[in-house]
Amino acid sequence: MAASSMLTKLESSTFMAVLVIYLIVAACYFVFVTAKKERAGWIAYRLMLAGFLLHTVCITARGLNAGRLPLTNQYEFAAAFAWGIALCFLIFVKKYDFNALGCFVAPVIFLIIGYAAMQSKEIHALMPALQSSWLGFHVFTAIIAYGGFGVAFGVSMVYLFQERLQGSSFARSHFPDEETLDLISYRAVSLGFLFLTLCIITGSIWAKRAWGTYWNWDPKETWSLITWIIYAIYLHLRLNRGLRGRKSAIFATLGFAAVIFTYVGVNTLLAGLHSYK
Amino acid sequence: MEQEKRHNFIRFFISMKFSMFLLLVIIGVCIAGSLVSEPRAYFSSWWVRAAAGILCLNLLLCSVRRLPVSIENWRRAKSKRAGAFGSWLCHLGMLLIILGFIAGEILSEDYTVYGIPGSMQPIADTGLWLRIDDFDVRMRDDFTVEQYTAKLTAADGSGQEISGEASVNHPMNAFGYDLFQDSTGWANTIDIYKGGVLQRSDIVCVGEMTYPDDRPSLQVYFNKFYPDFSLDASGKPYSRTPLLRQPRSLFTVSYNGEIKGMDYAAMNIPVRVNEYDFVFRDPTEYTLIVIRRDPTEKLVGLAALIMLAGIFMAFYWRPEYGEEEHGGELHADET
Repeated sequence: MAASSMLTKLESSTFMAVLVIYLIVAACYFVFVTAKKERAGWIAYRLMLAGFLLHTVCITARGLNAGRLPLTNQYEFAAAFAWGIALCFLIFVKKYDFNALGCFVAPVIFLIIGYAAMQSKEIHALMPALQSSWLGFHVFTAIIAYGGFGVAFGVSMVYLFQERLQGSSFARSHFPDEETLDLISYRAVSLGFLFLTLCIITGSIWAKRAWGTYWNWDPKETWSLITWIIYAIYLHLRLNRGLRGRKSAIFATLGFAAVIFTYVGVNTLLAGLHSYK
Repeated sequence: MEQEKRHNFIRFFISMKFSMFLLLVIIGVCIAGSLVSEPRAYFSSWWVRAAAGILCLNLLLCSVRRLPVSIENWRRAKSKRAGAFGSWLCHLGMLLIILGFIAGEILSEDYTVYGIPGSMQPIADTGLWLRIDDFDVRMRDDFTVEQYTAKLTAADGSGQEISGEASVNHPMNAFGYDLFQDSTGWANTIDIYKGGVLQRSDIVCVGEMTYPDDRPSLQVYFNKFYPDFSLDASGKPYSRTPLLRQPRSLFTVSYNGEIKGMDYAAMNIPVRVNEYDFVFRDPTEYTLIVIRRDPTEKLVGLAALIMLAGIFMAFYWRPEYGEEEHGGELHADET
């Protein structure tokens, strides 16, 4: 009981800290890019690292307290979704030395964690359909997929935004050239696409075990398929028709809108088998 | 002229432009399908199947057309040669998934059997029988369900029997069929008396009807069961817990579609409606078992693996052609 109460306190205090940190990070990145304050960018990145570590502690505490993977309701998945985007963001920033990306990714992370804050944090025991080892695989692949698409969205926004800053010394030193931005967005979409495919396949296998059919045309399944097709079109147009630059960025942005609808819109507007409140 | 027109049509049909158009159509179909109340019926309609069929044909022809290009890329590649087939395998996997799914819709067998422990029923026209040996709903302290478990015995005509357990996420397999624990509900034994003489005694599940005599126009409908009956502040009935503490059954008697009476019956206490006395007793939970066989299951599983491998190879195992040839991103002729 004492351990449970301690874990609850740890989870709620780290969650609040994470919420505040991501807000400050988003503000710092905004100052960094709009006021061109180098120091703000430096602080934002370090705070993002600290926020990510606390976020990991928060999710771990939740998992230990619940005695299961914390991936089964709106609050838990929103927290994990934001964590996945933060993870992909940090990897891409490290790989491409592209800190200014945070200007568009950090607000998305903050909005998603803010959405989590509005959900019920009560811990419920798992209903029978969710008691499966496939849960972890299925939701983890969704988190990475959404993370990849979230980063692609951020990069695409940077691409669309940096056209305004073209030629400035700040843009030259902090934004990759257009071609690299385009490539990063494509790589992030490729990662997301692979993991979304894995997510749909693991979900189908699980559905087969639980309900006897691997596809039920549940709204969440249907919208995952819609998202998958949107990104499939993006990849086809890019690889075969040379979709690049502005159009490619707009496409990746639209794709992410479908991701957000699949996650938030379907859960709130369309009831179905995945409506685990 | 005619031949040229035909060639132009075929060229258009196997073009990527047409594939993209089809995918956009399918997005529209899916958006509409996510809004309808009966999505399964909607997605089984002939025109959705026709759209999927045209997409299959397009995928097939595109795959055939692109195979020589993939082989040529494989031949030219210096390393990671298998990657040349990534995109091709992805399309092949997709094609097999759609075909398998459509075939599954047509060829799969799907039956339901429901009953209380001890009941034995035929599984449609399969020649098999299913006996529900036991059914248990395991609950936690807060009355949330931890697991539903049915102990079952399936038997064929020769007397061979297979026994096992089916619970959510853990189907039982017997005679090539998967048996799923699907849902549950309450059943009562209903005794119907007229003038003190027992007319009929039936086990009736919630949502079912029984008939007091031989006239089908006179019906008793079992509306709802409250295991722990209570009334809220507004006088609305509800069940405080799922435990059998204060069981009450709501039933309706109708004659020629006109409601003659509606009442809550406590267990073993007669309730009179017109000249009939109704006694509800022995509340028991029934289980609904879904029995399925899908011959395309393995094909679809294999197709999913092929598609996944294809996507991985297309993005992360790209062939390397040496310095004199292109590298980096995939080019049109590689996809």
